[in-house]
Formats: sequence, structure tokens, C-alpha cells
Amino acid sequence: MLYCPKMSDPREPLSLRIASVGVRIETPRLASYSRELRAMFGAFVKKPQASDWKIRLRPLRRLGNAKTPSVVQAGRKVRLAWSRFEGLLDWQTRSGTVFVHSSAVVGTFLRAFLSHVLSRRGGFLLHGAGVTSRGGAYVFPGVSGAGKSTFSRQWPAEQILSDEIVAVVKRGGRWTAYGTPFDGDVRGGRNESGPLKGILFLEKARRWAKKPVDRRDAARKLLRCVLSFEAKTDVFDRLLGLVDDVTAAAPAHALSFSRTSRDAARSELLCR
Amino acid sequence: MPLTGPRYSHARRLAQRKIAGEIFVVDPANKCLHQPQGVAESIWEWLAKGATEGELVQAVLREYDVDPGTAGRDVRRFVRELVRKRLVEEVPLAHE
Repeated sequence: MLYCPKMSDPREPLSLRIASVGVRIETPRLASYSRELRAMFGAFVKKPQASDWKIRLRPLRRLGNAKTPSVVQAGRKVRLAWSRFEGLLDWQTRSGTVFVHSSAVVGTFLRAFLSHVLSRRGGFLLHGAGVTSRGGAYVFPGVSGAGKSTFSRQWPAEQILSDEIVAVVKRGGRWTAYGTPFDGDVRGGRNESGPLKGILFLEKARRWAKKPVDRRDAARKLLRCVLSFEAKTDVFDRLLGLVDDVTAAAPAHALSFSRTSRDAARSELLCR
Repeated sequence: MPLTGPRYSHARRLAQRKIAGEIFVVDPANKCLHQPQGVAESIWEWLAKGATEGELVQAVLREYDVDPGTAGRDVRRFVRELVRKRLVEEVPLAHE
């Protein structure tokens, strides 16, 4: 259920819930940001909870030098940096301040932030599309050019979790795939989730077809698509453990798909 | 090949795990995935506890049907590659 307490009041903090991680974003000196962020993340606005992270946005006056976003944790402090944002968060108080160059940068910041938080909560962000079908969720890992958006356009909009980035998290012993607001060419990720029923690696072809992928290949391909902005051994130890676990839990296949042939039975192809 | 010489072991910064019987090694510094296979996988496993090139050659000769010259060349080449990629590091000598 979409929660919109005071959509017209730009001073009201924005409470988001993405892949079950709550974030309350305050924009005290950036009223226009609040409106823009609501437009970007509207589907993920939720009722605030006490456990939410509290992040205060401030304007970044000077661009930094970092070419790619990075996250560095030292004790309870986490530094997130890129040329267009810089922030310091505290795990103990679950709060911090982030200096951003523009509202458009907040999405990139949230990706870095969520990849950090999820990896410590038994999950990860995956560069991949995701859909729900028949009570289950299916993810389609792939780097740029793999066909995620082309594939997603073939799918009913109400079933797309995202055409660009999905979250995959283990909760209560079961893997769940979540939609995210981080979309590619197909507008709008959905704030939905479903039990993970399959991992499918896309291959452009003339006909729709599905064939099993060896677990080692699946782990290798999946690992390439896991988003991580950190460079620490313990983070990758955890991610390797999660990839091991998820490839053991969910069947992996190569899915050949055609962008011209609209196979009415594609849902059955996923679930078979 | 003499059994003495520098002793190498896995670089401590590496993350690694065996998944479905295959070794996955990730270097967090550059996020590169390495997957030694075949003889390389055996050598990688022997390097877990630290080994010299000579000890690795002896181990290869014990486990694989290969002549000493080929084993020596291949081990040397592989260890140099691991050193170049900073996937192994020299183990300091223990002082008594």
C-alpha cells in the first residue's frame, strides 16, 4: 500500500522502504529535492518506522575526484563517496549526513548505501531485471547490453520488478527478490517482492527456449552482476557465501528470448 | 629444483570459497574473479599452507604423470603469474 502522508508538503521527510530497508530522507535546505525525490521514488514511499536509517541531505558545493562510487566502513562509521556525493553514516545511530550535487545523484547514493546494508543483512543488489509470475519471482542477471530492458518490454508492466537492478535477500531461510526504484529504459521499478523461484541468464535469440545452467557457471555469472562498492575481504567473503547459498537454493537456466516473437507461453517457460 | 627458496602463500586480502567443487577467488582490490582449474587448482590448494616452488614441483610430480622438466617450468611460470597478480605473497621466514 502506497503511504503518502503529506505529499504536498516538501518539508516532510521522505520515508522509503526498499528491499525491506527503511530510509528516512530529510532535505531541510533542499525543498525542491523533496518534490523530485517523491517523483523518483514515489512507489517506495512507506510509513516511517523507528528502525529506519535517518539521512540528511545537504548541498555539495564542490565536485570530488572519485570516478566511481565507493563505500568504506571503519568500525561503526561508513563513508560513501563519489565525485557527486559524499556522506558519513553511523551504524550505531543509523543516521548521517550526505552532501549531494543534485537530486539525480540520490539514486546512485542509495544504490551504494543499499549494497552496503544488504550485504550485512544476508542479501545483495543485483544488476539484473526481475519479474513476478504465478506467485514467484524470477531474476535475470546481466550487465549492460545483456538484453534486460529489451526482455522487460516483452513483459506486462504490472509484473516487472525492475529492468535494471533488483534486490535478492534471504529472510527466514528463504530467498526473496525485491523490486527497486532503480530502473533502466523501462520506467518504474515496482515495490513488490516474491519468493525467488529462478535465476535466468538472458540470451538474445530467434525463439524462446530454456536450458539448465551448471551451478558453477551460474555462480560465476551471478557474481559478475552483484553490485558492490566496497573493497574489503570480509565483504567479498560474505558475498561469495550468499552467491553459494542462492545458487544452491534457486535453479539457474539460460533463457533464450526473441524480441519479435511474443510467445504467449513465456510464463509457462519460466515456471516449467 | 631445490626445496629451499621463497615460500609463498595466498595473499591475505583475498576472499575465497569453494562453490559446487570449484574455487572462487576474488581480489577485493580490483574485484577480479580468479578460478584456478586443473593442476593450477591443486597448486592453489597447496599454497594455502605455504610452499616453495620446489615443494610445489615435488607435489605436482607426486600427483600428476608429468616429467620433472615440464613440471618445473609450469610451476615456475604459474607462481610468477600469481606473484605478478599479487595473488600470493612471500611468507616471512620464522626467526628462532
